[in-house]
Amino acid sequence: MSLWPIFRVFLLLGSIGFGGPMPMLALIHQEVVERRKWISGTQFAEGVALGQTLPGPIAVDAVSYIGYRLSGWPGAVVATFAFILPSFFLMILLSLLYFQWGISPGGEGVLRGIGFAVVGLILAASLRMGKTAVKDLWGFPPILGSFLLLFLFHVPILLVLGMGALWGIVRHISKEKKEI
Amino acid sequence: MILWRLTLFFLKIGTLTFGGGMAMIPFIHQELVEGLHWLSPREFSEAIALGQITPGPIAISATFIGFKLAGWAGAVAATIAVFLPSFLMTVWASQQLERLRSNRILQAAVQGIALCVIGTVLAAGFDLARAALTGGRALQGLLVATVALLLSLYSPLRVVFIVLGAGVAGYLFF
Repeated sequence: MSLWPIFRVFLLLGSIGFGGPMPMLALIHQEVVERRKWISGTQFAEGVALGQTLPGPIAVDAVSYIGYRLSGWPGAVVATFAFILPSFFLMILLSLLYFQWGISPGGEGVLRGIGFAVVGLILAASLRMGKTAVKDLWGFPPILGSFLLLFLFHVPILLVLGMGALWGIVRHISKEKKEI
Repeated sequence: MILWRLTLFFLKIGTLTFGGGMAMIPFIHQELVEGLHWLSPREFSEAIALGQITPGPIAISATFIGFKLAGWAGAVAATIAVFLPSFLMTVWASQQLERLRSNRILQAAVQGIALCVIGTVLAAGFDLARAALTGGRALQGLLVATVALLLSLYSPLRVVFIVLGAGVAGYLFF
């Protein structure tokens, strides 16, 4: 597949994909699977699973995967680049406004209001993540543990995540032993 | 040199943020805000808000942070650095899909990490709340945060509008 349509479609998707990974993925699905039939629904689901497993933003990972499926390495580069480009330029513009020219809309009050909303949005995100990741009661100790280690004792995050990996492996092995 | 350290930091984040862009936030908070003081809590929360009102992934906050610390070069370097590791891993994994799917130890480790990521995001949220509350008018602030939380969870409203609405509320309240 030639690279130009890949560039165009993902540039568009990158310009209108608002509201976090899930709404973005829905949009990408509409365009790439339903409208253009570039890849199958199963392949798309695989891309999403990949995005959720690997580090990095889920939607961007899925876009890299789709680009790779369409046109190999060049496809992956073009799709990812085009998808990020619009938000990059918009962010540059906002940075210029904020840092160079010191423009922050409405001043102090507006910024404080947004600051509080960000707190709410972050908590909402963690609850949503919990809904997909927690499968039984054993899901809660690592969440609570990592929260306390970080909030109270400021343990390095890498250590916390390493403990998480260990927890997952130990749980897996003990489950397998029970089955035997 | 700050550009180099910035690039390394975002490469690290790009490699370690399992669980989507939100997982970046606790890292940035712990290292850039609390550790190095390269970013004030206020700028940090601005970066996240802007990352959410612009289209595309929230990881694009890296552009804003890079711009603050090292201008244009910083913005470009931070953006490339934050996306590059997961890009390489994704393409690599696309080639190895069959083998990765059958590796159950790897899957189990990823599941454990995903759980801890939730705890780290929660902690960053609480830290931000603590910083925001020191400015006074705690009651109104908590109200704005709660409304944003509920709207985000239970309404089809897009994040852009929640952030903009909170700006208006802030203008009236504070």
